[in-house]
Amino acid sequence: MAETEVKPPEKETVSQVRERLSSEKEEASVADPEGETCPVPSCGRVVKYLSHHINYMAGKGERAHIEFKESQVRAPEVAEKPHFSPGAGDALVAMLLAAALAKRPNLILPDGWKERAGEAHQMVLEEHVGPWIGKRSSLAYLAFVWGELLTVNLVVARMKTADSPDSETEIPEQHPAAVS
Amino acid sequence: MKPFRHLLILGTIGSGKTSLAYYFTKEEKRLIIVDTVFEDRYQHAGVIVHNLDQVGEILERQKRFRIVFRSGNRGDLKGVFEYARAAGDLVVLVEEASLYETMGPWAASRNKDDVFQKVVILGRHDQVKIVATTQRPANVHNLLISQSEILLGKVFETNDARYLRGLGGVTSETIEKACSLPDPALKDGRLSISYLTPLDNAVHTVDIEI
Repeated sequence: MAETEVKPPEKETVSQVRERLSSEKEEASVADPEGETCPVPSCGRVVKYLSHHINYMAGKGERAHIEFKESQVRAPEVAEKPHFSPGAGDALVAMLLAAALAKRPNLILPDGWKERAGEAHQMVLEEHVGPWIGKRSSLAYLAFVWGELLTVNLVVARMKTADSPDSETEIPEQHPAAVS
Repeated sequence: MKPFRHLLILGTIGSGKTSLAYYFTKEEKRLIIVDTVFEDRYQHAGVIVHNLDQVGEILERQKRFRIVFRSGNRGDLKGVFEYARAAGDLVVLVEEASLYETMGPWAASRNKDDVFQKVVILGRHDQVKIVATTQRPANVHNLLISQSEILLGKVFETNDARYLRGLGGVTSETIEKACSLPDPALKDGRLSISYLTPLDNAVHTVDIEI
């Protein structure tokens, strides 16, 4: 039996790549003719060549663009969008509070605590947890949540409420009806 | 015969990565520099182009070229790799590689036909060499790291130092040595840059004309 010659798969030529990329770009521009929105908050312009725009504005001494350019080089993850939507902090506080109340139904909370705790958690989620987990798995976020739940459970187990006994070893008074 | 390896230059800001990358590619006759942050160093390193089609046009017409590609679209890097594979026998220098999702830790694993993966693995076959600089080795796919000769500049970031340990011969001793490398120094119009090669823990110094 004659051997069949096996040829390696043909590679595209530069012209073929150029033609293909050009048609892909045309399709993309039809779908979305706009460029990218400048991520610098004080700018927000839609520009076609983002780095060019940022460097041009930085070269003109535009402080916000200089800082953004520096942040891109030093810590690219800072420029990523927040991973948590507004309200995520309040939701997390509500969950922690539910866990605490399950252990201590008469837990005393200072006025405004829930709102302040919600804001603080929102800041932590957006500025620290989000950039940290980045494209890592959501297991990291779950670990963060479980860690907080465990901490809350451990703390409230030892907290006093309005009607908690002063000593955990205090023996409750025997009900008169129980005296034989 | 020296084995074909890509080149990865690691180090913190100001450790001389760009200057080293320029130094190691200045004699290349077929070179595409992906100038991510518009470095002054590359202003006269080649013909500056701003869109991918211009890269293709030059590759079609010229046998020798030094292209400085300054694009606002990071997705264009894929196109550069596609051109590189098609043209063959050239060097692609990528500045701040960790800023590109194309070269990130998750990119190549998503698609087995990924062009970046092909360039890294089949580089020897196509004679396409990648020279990449980065401050964040953890943000570069370990496929490239495993296929590269590593040059270590000064390292400050604890997490990066921890990540580097165990990679391509990088030991704790290497990290310690890298942390105490001298900063680049300017003297008599020449920039003196020190770097470390992890395989032999040797410190090298090059003098680059400004």
